[in-house]
Amino acid sequence: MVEQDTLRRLFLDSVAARGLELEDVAAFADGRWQPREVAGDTSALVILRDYDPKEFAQGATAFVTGLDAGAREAWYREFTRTSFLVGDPDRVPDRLAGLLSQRTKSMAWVWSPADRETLGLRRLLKPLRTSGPWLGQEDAEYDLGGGGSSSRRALTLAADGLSLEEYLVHLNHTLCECLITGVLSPGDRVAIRHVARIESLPPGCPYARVVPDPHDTARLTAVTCVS
Amino acid sequence: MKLLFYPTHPTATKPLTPSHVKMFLWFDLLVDATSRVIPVTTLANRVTCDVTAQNLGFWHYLDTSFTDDPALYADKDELWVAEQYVRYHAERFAAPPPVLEELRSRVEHDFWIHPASARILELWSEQCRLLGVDERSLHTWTPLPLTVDEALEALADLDVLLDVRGLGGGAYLDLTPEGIALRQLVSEQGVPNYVVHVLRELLAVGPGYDRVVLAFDAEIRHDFDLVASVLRRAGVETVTLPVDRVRLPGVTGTTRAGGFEPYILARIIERFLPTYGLEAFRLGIRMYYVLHVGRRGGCEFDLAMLERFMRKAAAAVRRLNGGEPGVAAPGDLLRELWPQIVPRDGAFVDPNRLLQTLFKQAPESAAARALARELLL
Repeated sequence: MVEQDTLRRLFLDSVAARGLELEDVAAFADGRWQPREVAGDTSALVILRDYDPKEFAQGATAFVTGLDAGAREAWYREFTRTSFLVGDPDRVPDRLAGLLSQRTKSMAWVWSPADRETLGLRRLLKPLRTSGPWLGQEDAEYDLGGGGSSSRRALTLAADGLSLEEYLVHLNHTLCECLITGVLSPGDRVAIRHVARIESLPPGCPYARVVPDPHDTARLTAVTCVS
Repeated sequence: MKLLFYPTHPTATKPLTPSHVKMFLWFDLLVDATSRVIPVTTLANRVTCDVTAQNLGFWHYLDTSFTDDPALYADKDELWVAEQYVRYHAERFAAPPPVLEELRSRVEHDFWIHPASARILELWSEQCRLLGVDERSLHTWTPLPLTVDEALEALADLDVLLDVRGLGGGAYLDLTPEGIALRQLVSEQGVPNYVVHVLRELLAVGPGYDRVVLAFDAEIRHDFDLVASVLRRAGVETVTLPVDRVRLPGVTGTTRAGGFEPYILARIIERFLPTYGLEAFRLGIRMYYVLHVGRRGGCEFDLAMLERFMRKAAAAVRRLNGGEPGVAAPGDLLRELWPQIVPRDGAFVDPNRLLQTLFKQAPESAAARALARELLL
């Protein structure tokens, strides 16, 4: 098991890197972590008609690299808030289709600098909600599809019992934040490996997504790490 | 012209309120009058009405709170059942999805009804007979012609289905190119909702008619507008006929919250039928709901006004019966009146126009008086 002190340090470093204070994102009271909604309404929307992991990885990469520096900074500061919506991007009416900034075969990404600018889309479509744990996890390697230098990176994801929407939240934050901070480059190849729990972090781990443990809010847990 | 009339029905979980009575009277008169000129088929099926998650959940609530033994419910009145219905909602009782699916199967394949609702239907039938409306539709069970998957396939063929069940999600009616929000049809747990069951019937039956009339509580207008859109895509000429609810004095919200007890049909019958007699009661209540309340508009229920119509009806009955109570209405009178009593876009009689026309003609026309007796008394 990863030491709580290590996880706490990683968590606090992640908060500080965004120019925030701990109290902006969580409280620790009565021995329990209580997450808080980060102020602001900058976000991204991902519209899915279907899910394919390679398509998702490449689509997310193209979306991040397509944002200007100011948008990436604002989004990173708000913990890359993202909403996953079910819908068919091919059927979005013309008056809203211009909001779709990145398309793949069955998904689309939308940059939402403020909630009101994408209200029409969020009213038209529905939040992704699924039942039961997502069983479609497969260990595999994907090229992120962008240009520039290329390295091989490993992304480990603790996926035990996660629904698809929970899985995508962790995968999406990890990919996007690593691209924003330069831990990943758009030309990299990423090997995604699924485990029940992350028992240890690689030495000098450049990125770990640390959250309050949903099964025991007295503890923090690493849900992803990149090496 | 062959017309299919598709009315929504209340679930048998409460007494008949003024909103229910209004719908019953409007629909009954519309069908009775229209069918004398063109063939009308009424498609009323307890299966579609009873398989909603809300209704099945209530039945499960009764089983877990009390018993499934019919003997308990045999002497219960409507208000007792309604009280449990209010509790069911107040407690936010949620039946497990597998239980809902098991109950749905019993309704669809065995035409099963919970004994509490069977008791309610018994009481409703008696009241409807006094009201003079055709109560056969309360007791009609018909297999749904399409399975859930067949209905969803039909929607896919019409290019209006978004199906993410392969990802563990639900299935949705997708009219987003028209700017209409997705409407969930099947939940993430695999439970289909009532829109699916309505489509299971209408997608199969509707194409056999020249026109389909969907008649429903205006509160569910959005869903029935969607159903109409789907049917039109399937080439079925479809008209929607929403009926606004009747507000009750001092009551906000739906029957889930209670407060309707003094205005239920059983109380109205007790109050007016002994004083005015059956014919005046039937005429008076029709005049009140059709001429005064109207189909649209948020009119508040008014007992004093209803009594005024009962008094007017008592006098009108004497004039309608006159010296010729046994004379039958000429078969072609409605055809002659058709242009006056059918709305511009309609192929069916508007009850409000019908009553106004008959009462205008009745003083001078024995035929009109005879028709009024047949339709209204």
